[in-house]
Amino acid sequence: MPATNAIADQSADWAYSALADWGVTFTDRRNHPARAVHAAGRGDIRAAPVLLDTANDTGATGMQRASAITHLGRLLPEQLMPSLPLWLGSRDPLIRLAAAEAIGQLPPEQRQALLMPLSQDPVLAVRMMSAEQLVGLVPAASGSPGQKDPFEALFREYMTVQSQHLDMPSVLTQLSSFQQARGDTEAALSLLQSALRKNPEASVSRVNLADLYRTLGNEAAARETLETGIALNADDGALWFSLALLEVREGNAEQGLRALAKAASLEETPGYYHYVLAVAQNDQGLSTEALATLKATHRAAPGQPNVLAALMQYSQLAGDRQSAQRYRDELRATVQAAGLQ
Amino acid sequence: MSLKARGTWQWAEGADIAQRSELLTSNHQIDSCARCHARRGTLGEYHPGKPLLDTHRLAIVEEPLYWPDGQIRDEVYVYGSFIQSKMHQAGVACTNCHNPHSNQLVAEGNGVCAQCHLASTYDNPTHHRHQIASAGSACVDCHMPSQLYMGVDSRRDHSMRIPRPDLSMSTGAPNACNQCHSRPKCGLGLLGAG
Repeated sequence: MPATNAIADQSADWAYSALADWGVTFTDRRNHPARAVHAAGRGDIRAAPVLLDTANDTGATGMQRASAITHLGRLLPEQLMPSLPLWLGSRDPLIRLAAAEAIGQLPPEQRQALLMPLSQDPVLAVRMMSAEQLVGLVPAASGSPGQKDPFEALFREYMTVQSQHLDMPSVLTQLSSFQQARGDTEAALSLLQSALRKNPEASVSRVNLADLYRTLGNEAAARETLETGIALNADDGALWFSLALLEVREGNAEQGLRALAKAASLEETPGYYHYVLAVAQNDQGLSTEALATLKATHRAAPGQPNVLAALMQYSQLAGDRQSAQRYRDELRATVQAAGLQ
Repeated sequence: MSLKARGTWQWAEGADIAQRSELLTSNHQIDSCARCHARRGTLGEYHPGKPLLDTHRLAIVEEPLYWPDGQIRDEVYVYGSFIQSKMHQAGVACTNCHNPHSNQLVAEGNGVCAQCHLASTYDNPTHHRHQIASAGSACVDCHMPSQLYMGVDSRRDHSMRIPRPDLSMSTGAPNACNQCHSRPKCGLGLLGAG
């Protein structure tokens, strides 16, 4: 074998060809879990079957299976149900933890019964996740005699554990969500304010605080919270998106569109912000722009059913029946490829 | 820390990879190391000897922490990639390769891997397709590509995977081949290709 010192083409394609020349073949090239994780991160629901296979693959590592469960839960939670009992009963706590987190994506009426056994799980991380998922489902005890919170011990443990890390903005934010779900808005507000004092650029804390102000009817404070965040970091898409929704709520359609466009421009891969931008454009009578936004989104990140459905609907509205039919067919094929029909 | 987790490893007749003579039944050692060498959140107080998930919540494989195939990307340290490996599934523990106190490797170069992987099979141009003693003949250069953090700190992926340039093409994940073969006339001593 002659030594080769100069490699003219050093692309991945070249490397793949070199391996092929050596007789190396990869039978999982088309359905490798990495491709599914990559696609799932871009909202492509066609990744669901491979994620499900990976999650159920007892030959895969716990980390791979747990990650697949988490991605599947975010992408297409309806595909979780048949396998959830298996994952919740797994001997691997990482898989039980992922299953507990994924349950949070299911409708509330399905969650409580599934989570009940995990509230007694021997592993703390699993119990903590169960507490986070259960708290929104269980109304706080009224304090009247005889009415006891069935998860009181679990929730007390959650508070005790989290309270040891009040120096961390992320923990303060998690605790805030927990308190809000328990109905203690005042505590939730205070925790988020504390998180932002520690890190004014904590994006999730800031968006949550603005949302909390909104639920309290204080849109002015919500606006100030978001605008302060944007002044600190103008490249934070979540802040722009939240501000856009605020503008729309206040009837400032033009400002809302501008903020939405900014949020969309900051998305690494065109996805939900682009979809909402297109809907807003269409609502404002900018149907050509809406279709252009959707087409660009579909080109860059195919397999998103909401984008395809909007393309179908807006094409129909524009009188372009041929395109509408094409998108209808593609939507049907996408849904089938996701294992939904 | 107990070194019992290292276990004893034996070659079956004709095998070129050693296997543990007894299954590793405790994660005590790697969970102890993982408390620092993992990307995780902290849950309450540290309790030596408890399972990792009793004191921490581990970050899963997701972007931007990891590449879609599970290779390290952001600062995820070692544990998260190691537990994706076949080595972990086979019962390899941290101290099979590292001194637990100094973190130094237990042998020089390919000698670490040759503890369990027969050198005549794997440390051989028929396997690695590179000239002996060239960069590409080092096991870690193909199976544990490194990534530079903070401009000075090179860390190796511990999932010990087969280079997959095809996944680079479809997902953008890096591959060990192109980590070296990325400069003109790099002179890496590749055999029989190009």
